[in-house]
Amino acid sequence: MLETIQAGFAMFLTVHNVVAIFGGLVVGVVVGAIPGMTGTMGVALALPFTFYMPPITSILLLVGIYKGAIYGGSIPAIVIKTPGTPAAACTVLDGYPMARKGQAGKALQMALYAGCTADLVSNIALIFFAGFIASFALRFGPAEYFTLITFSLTIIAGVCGASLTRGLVSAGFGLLAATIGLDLVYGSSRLAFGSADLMGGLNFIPLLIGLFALPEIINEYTRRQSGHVATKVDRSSVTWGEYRASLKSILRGSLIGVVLGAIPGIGAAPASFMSYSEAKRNSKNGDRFGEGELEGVAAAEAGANGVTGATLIPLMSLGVPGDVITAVILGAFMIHGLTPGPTLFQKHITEIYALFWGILFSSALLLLTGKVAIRAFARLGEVPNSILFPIVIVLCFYGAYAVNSSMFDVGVMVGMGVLGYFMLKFDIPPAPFLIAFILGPMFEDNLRRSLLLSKGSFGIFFSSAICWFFIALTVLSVYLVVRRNMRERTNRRRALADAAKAK
Amino acid sequence: MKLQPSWLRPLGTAIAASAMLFGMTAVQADYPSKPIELVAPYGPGGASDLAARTLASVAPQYIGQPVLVVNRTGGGGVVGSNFVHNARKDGYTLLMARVGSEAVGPALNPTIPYKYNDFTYLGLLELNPYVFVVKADSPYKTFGDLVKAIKAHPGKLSYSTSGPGTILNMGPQMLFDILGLPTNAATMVPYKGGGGAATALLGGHVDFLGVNLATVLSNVQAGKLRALAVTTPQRYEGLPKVPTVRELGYPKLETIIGWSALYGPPNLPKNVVHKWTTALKKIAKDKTWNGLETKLGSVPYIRSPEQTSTFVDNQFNSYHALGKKLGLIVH
Repeated sequence: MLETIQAGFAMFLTVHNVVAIFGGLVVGVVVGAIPGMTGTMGVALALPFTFYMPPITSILLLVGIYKGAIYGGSIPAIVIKTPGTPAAACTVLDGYPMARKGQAGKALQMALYAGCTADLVSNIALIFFAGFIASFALRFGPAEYFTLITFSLTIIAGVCGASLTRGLVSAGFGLLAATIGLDLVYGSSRLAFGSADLMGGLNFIPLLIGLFALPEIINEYTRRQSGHVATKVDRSSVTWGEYRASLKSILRGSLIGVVLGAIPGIGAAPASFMSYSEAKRNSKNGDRFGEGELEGVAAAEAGANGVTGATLIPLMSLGVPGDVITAVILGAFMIHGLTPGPTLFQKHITEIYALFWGILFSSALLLLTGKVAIRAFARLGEVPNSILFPIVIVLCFYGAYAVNSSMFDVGVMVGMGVLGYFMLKFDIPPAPFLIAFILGPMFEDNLRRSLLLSKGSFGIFFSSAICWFFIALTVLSVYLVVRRNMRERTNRRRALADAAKAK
Repeated sequence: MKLQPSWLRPLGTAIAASAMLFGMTAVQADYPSKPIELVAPYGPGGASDLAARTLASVAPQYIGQPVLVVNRTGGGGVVGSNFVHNARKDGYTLLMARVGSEAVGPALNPTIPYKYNDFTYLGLLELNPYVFVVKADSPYKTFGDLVKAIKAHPGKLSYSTSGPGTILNMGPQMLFDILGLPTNAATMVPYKGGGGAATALLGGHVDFLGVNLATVLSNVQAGKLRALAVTTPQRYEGLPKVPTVRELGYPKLETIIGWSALYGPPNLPKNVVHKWTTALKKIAKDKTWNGLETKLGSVPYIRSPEQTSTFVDNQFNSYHALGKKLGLIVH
């Protein structure tokens, strides 16, 4: 055992491997930071180059790009409110308000520290508990997924802002948008009006850019100009005390990321939102979430980065990719004769240890890469809007087009931008829209799968301990939301009554 | 500002003119004179994407220009295929055709905006063996056991697929048809992608699965899943003990197989077709390409445009006939 670990270390420690993982991280951060360029695209583009590299070097390069991109997505989310990845949409909630207050640098640092911590936790989970976690993940059948997603939907209450009703309206729109396209079971087209583009459903990235970045810009230009008010730039760094204060949320977020990352098909976006809403519920600063709270940025990024190591668990131990990006990495494994799955650990244990060393090493390198990136990007927040916004508009259009080289996607982005502008005007938060859009199809598909398997009997949702666990969590979560709302209402009433009495 | 010496001006004009002339002749005669875009109609990591990227990694040596893979996804491959169908007929936009988007899709859904054969065939590239698998602890030891169980308890067993119009569903459906059973002889449970369908079987949530071998090969070799039959004409090299469907007496099931081919928009110029058929003949002997294909669990299967046409016609007709019989055709 110890010898194979040592042999693995020796295999890892070559100049090629270190350069590959470092280069991958740099490319990943840049790719993640450009709206419309996704980690998937970066990994897919790099894949052919790896055909001619040694196996460990090539996989480390791809893993580096993947990890870099997940972190990189937080940069434009904080600085220009344009999330580069779906998971970064959650970072917008507190990151952008912080940037508006002149604290972009601080938010970026917290995102990096939280991200690296979560990345490390996730890597450790991969290395030590891969087998255990994989067999647990396999127990998730359609009914278990369904109850998990049902519970995840209750996080909408956590990102609604002031009004639960407005949040639910937003979520309703999101669900509606998610139904567009071919249905999974019968392949019948819904709300597609015979268009081949609509049959494919709405694309994620254009929707994301349209919903978050465009409304802000439209709002800026339609508003009466009140003269430029320079925000005071706060160059202070994240202190050890501030990191310590958020550590609990970071660790909780990392664990949420690990669990959701290990279950194939869930992904980083639900993890970041769930981590955020749990942090909001448990933190003593919970009420200030959404107004530029450092801990909110930490929680969101911890959830997103906690996924990155864990998604490799089903990939390596079961041979099943959890998302598109790991599907590409799966291709790289196979091309180098390291077919992922149970045999991988039997036949190629030295290579696996070499990979593990590299992956552990990547957490430290990510910190270094991120620090350099922050220096370059934090100053962007100081660029006046009259210069920044036109650039962001160009990036939005470029980004929406680049994902699929399709003008239809640009149309989707513009449409979503207009919808988002009206939502902004009516104070309807965009985050519930996004969560519903992501979770809606998972909710529906798993409900229908379960009922197909059970021949229509609802008993299947109560058939396992995992189901009961998530049902209990859902009930508890709904109860807490209702109680909090009731309490706020009576408090408000009491305050009004007191005010009336005082008169 | 310094003025240019007068003798430079005519020289500049001459250079510009010859460059234009040279450029023009290059466009007309020498294909290709610029990079070629190869559209993969499915997302990164899928079979069409990997097939495209492996071809793109070796093709430049034989074709003389870079080949750039672009994923244009959506609508089960329809969006990307339609894009190439309507692209300029100059050979600079080609399609990585797949069984799903170029045979099953058009066969089951006449509303798709292109006809299955309204393309220029440049050549078939690879076959992806298809297997019927069960979990290792399943009571069905052989293909015969599985068939017997489906016959004995119609509607009781379940199988996972990646959607109704995919070969993951067509395999079991064709089997039911051969056995004279109705379409609901076992319950179809659709997942997103072949990976999801395989996970469902690994977790024991469904009873069996028909799928591309590459998706499950590692789990079969590790003894977590049991392969009952392959649809390739010969036994698969990596699984010598698994019988073919022909050996088992179901030769019709051989139609159910994954494949990738290189297509162009309809009516491509002759020199483009010639350039690619010559290049593909050489690629068929390329060690790197063959090695990559084998490692991905595919069978290299480069064929001429004429052979490709026969193969694709046969594919379309079988799926169309099956779809008609089972009432799977979309109106």
